Amino acid sequence: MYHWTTLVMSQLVVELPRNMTISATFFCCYWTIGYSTGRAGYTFLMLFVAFPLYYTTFGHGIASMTSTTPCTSQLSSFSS
Amino acid sequence: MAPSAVISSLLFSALFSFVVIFNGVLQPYCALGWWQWMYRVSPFTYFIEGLLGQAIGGTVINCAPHEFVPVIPPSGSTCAKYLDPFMSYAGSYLADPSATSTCLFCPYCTTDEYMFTAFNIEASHHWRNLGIMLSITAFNAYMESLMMYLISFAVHIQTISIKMCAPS
Repeated sequence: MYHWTTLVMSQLVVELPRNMTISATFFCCYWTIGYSTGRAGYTFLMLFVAFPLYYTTFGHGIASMTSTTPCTSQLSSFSS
Repeated sequence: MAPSAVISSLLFSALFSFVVIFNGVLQPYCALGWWQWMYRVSPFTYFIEGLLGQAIGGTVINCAPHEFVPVIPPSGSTCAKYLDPFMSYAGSYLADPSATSTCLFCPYCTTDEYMFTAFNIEASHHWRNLGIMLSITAFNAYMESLMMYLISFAVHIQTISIKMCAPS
């Protein structure tokens, strides 16, 4: 039908727009609690770019090696 | 491992608290003892170090009046002269270094000092921590491909071959 790499790549790529949409909440919550603008850049990169990328790829990684949903949730809680 | 979703969610909360405890903030790094390897392994360590260092690092601490510790120096000595050897080691400041009766002593000078002694967090590590988080992301993506190939794809092929070889 199609190559297995297509499945992996599409799983990874389809999460990117979703992550970027969620990252937009940064602009609603960061300044309203009074944090300084000079420190915003790194916080955005770490909390709203690197962290969503980390947990979505982690979830995919776990899901790819397990057979059932309970097994996936068990493994991801054990090793995150 | 878990037979049902309820049990797996119970196990999830227990094990997730495990990960959170060992990130060096809930249980400070210096108090971990043997578990320091878990502190190094947990990705949350680097995530928290980066965020917390960025959020409150590099700031001067000013003690409120009730936070100063009153210390009485020996007679004939000023506060600065009496406490300087300790302060140069531990980092702290005095409200009035030239006072001779009661020294008002603030145990911390900067937030970096406080975070390093209490939680082993250095704000200067922030780009390293971002790099570690992105490396872990890359590793996850790699493992996803590898596991998809080794387990799901291999099992799939095996099933097909078993079906093909099975006598009908």
